[in-house]
Amino acid sequence: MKIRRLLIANRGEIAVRIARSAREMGIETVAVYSEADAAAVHVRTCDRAVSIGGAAPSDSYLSISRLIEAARASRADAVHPGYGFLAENAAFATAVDDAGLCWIGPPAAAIAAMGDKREARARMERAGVPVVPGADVPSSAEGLAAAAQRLGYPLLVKAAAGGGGKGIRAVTGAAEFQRAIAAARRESESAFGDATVYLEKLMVRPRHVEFQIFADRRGTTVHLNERECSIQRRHQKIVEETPSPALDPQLRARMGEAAISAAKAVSYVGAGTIEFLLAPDRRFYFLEANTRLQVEHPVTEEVLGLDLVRAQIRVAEGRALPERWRRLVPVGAALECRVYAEDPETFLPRSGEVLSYEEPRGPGIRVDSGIEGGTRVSIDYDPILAKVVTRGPTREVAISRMRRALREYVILGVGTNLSLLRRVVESQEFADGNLDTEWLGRLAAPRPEPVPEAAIAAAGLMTLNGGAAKSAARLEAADPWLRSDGWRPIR
Amino acid sequence: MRREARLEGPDGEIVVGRADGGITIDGRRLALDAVEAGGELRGLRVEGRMIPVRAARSGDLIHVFCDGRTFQFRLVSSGARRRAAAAKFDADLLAPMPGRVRRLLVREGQSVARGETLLILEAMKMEHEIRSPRAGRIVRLPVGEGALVDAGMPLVELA
Repeated sequence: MKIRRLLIANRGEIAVRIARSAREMGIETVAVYSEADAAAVHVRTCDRAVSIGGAAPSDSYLSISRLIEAARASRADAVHPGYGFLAENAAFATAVDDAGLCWIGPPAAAIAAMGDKREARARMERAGVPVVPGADVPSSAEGLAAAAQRLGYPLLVKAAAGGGGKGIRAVTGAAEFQRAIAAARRESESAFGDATVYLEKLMVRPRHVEFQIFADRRGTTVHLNERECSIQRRHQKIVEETPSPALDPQLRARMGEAAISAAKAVSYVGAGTIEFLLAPDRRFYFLEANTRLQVEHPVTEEVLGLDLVRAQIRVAEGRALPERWRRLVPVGAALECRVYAEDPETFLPRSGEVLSYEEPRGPGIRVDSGIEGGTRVSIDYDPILAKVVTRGPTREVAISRMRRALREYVILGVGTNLSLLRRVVESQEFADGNLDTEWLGRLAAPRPEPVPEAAIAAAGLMTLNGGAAKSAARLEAADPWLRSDGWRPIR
Repeated sequence: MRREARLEGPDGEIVVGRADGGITIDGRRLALDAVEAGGELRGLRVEGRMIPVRAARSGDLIHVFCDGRTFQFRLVSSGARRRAAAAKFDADLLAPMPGRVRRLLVREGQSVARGETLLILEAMKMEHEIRSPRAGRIVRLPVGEGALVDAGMPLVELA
């Protein structure tokens, strides 16, 4: 089939990202939006827009019935779920299918198999893919103690339906166990509508290395190399890169093969990601699979010269993966920094209106964003605002571009994690590539730097002039030739 | 228009004032030249050096981007009022983020132990536990379950 009109069941930067590829392909795009998002960027990036309900996600972006209704009303013939919200919800994939629409994603059965993290672990073991040691949560206190004894502390309590770092709690001793389980259950229930959790051994200082996989409906499955995502806060990635500084060609080939086996074990179709933990001894363990486009997909696109959204749409239309995808050779290196509306030290969310906004530009820099001046950042949604992606012929060049890009990025009015991202990419350890998932926690606290006088002066001008920066200090500018300070216009 | 204002910045309080050809910072005169484009402040020229600056104001908050970093200042008059209003609340019991009160785990009049979880805030699908900074008795719970709170709002009054 040929897709003509695509409904994008998402918001923010990823909805904008998907709309761009679809439009380039001559496909009409339909945005959906909640009441809180009527003025959002993604709504205006699409050809049409359908209002789907209230600000709370359960009333809008998480409502299967409203999304299907929006697709019918707008006569869309396909649905792209993006990431988050319903992207890994098998019931949504089934509902899209049942409505006679084309689902841009893997079959519902593959989503269900990988979406239940416990079942996924069992399948991977059967397929010969190594998994992190783990256990179900026993119902009795004795059972719990025995499981903890067997796996050893520290442990992770993880949501079976989890993803995106939600519904995860670390436990370092028996005292915290019950509370951690309760908290993970509540968070999981709230984020995924399923309170099932399981236990996993917390590996010490592993790297997070994942493989992009892609499969068509004709039985071809390829991997598109790795992304290293070791820099995480609250089990959520904030900086990603490809290639991983930890992999050599042999290890890459072995992990890539395991990723393909994992995909084939669930008859995967479309874009997906197989996540591994890589231990310091170079052993690797299947962590989980993400049955969707990944937040950090742009770094893969940048080094391979691909458009993964375009490829997702082509595969959904039933086309074969291009033959050359078996022999792709990455060029250079790429990094991604996730810009979040959150405190750079406590990681607590921030909200507000974007008052002044300017994205970095220039060679090797790509910004995927879903905000602009005037955007209201609400607490109802994921705090991701934008992704800054840089590439270069070498990792060093990509890093230097990222350092520049983060310094140029102006976001005023909403607190962001930009200063933390800068500390990461400006650190020597990051440049050395010696990373693991606990690294961010060890990053030294920010050095106190005095506030520059110019910043104080600017704040003073804004205050003394009642809000506008007007004229208080625009001194003798009326006739530039009469200035007393030696400055003259250049002709 | 004000001649002088007190600002609370990252390094403490500062008094800024009007001055011919510049501004005073804690009484010291700084000669400068504002560069604007599109009605917005874009730079300050100080002693011949052009420093890129952006600034925006919303209510009492002034946000400044200067040389790759972002700073926030608050006009003190109202900040002081807010602090006075919040004075009887422990700093640990002010909302650390905007969010929604997901669960209240205590009742007014109840005694609590140090470290006990009092309520759970939720924002952006993340949970944040508010724990008691000390042993005491709950005097007042100004917000109910499901309430939306702003950062800095008192959540629990503890005696």
